[in-house]
Amino acid sequence: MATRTTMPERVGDAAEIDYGRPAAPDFGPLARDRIPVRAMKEGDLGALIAIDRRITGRTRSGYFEHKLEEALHDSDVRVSLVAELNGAVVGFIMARVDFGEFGRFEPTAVMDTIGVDPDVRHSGVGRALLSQLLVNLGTLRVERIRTEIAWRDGDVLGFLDRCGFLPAQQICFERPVGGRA
Amino acid sequence: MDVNASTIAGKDAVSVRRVQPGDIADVIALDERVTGLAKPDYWHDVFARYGERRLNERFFLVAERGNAKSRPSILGFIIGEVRAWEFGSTPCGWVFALSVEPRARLHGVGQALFEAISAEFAKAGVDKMRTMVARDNRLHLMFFRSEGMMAGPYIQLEKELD
Repeated sequence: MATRTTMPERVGDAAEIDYGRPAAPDFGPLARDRIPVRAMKEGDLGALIAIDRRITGRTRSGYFEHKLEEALHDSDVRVSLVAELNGAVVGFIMARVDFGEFGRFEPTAVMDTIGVDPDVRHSGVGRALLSQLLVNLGTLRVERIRTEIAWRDGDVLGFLDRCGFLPAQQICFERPVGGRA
Repeated sequence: MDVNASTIAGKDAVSVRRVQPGDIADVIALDERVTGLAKPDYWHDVFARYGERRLNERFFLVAERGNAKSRPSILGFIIGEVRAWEFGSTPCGWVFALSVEPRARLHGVGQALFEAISAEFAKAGVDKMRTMVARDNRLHLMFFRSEGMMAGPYIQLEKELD
């Protein structure tokens, strides 16, 4: 009886799936283990506003009421999480799943909100939040996450760089409404 | 119901109005002609989100020839919304879809759509509008530059999920 052999067609092709290979690099498991991350709830609104005020110096109650309303009631395509330390909310992250914009048509998550209490920065809270967000998005079969960020926001840029984000091949354009610059 | 009507010298007037349920078939067909892909589920979802909900900050506008004797067909559409992003940014209007019937280009349709959504953003209380364009999309790059848009202070970052 002839033995059937599966031959790779190109250099680098695997003849069969290697289920024993090491997992892909993930920056998050340790942070996720140390810092509990859970789904956002209505009662988190006060904590979100307070953390944001400490970061931005502004009270943006309307913005967060709107975001929370959207996250909890308006859409089935939002993923919104908070991180806790010692029972208190210390960070939050929000993303929505888009099925196409700016000329793209593959399911993409858009991360539009992230914040960490300045008192617990550099404690892995942001990594825990982002890592759990990516895990949740993976279950929604989302293949890519993107965000838009001000180029002067060096802290967040550095954080996202360390988490594996890369510049997209898109250019941002802007103009005053109602007239030219 | 007209959001805006503009007359281009020597051409028919182009009317811009909010999308209606009966426009979606035309939008799907136009998008298929432009992109080569039919995406009916996607456009029905977009209509539900941007044509029916939170209309004070979401704008799905269509352009049609104003003096057509028969049922006017859609010449183009533009979609945008007011977004307030984190990282300290103030709310601004984002345009994330724009398409014009290829045979109707260079007749002011895109400009009428762009001006109409700009007016809607102004009414919504924002003072800037933004969009993202792929570096190799020359058509959209030229159009937005011709409308006075300049490189903005935002960077788009992305990450593949494993």
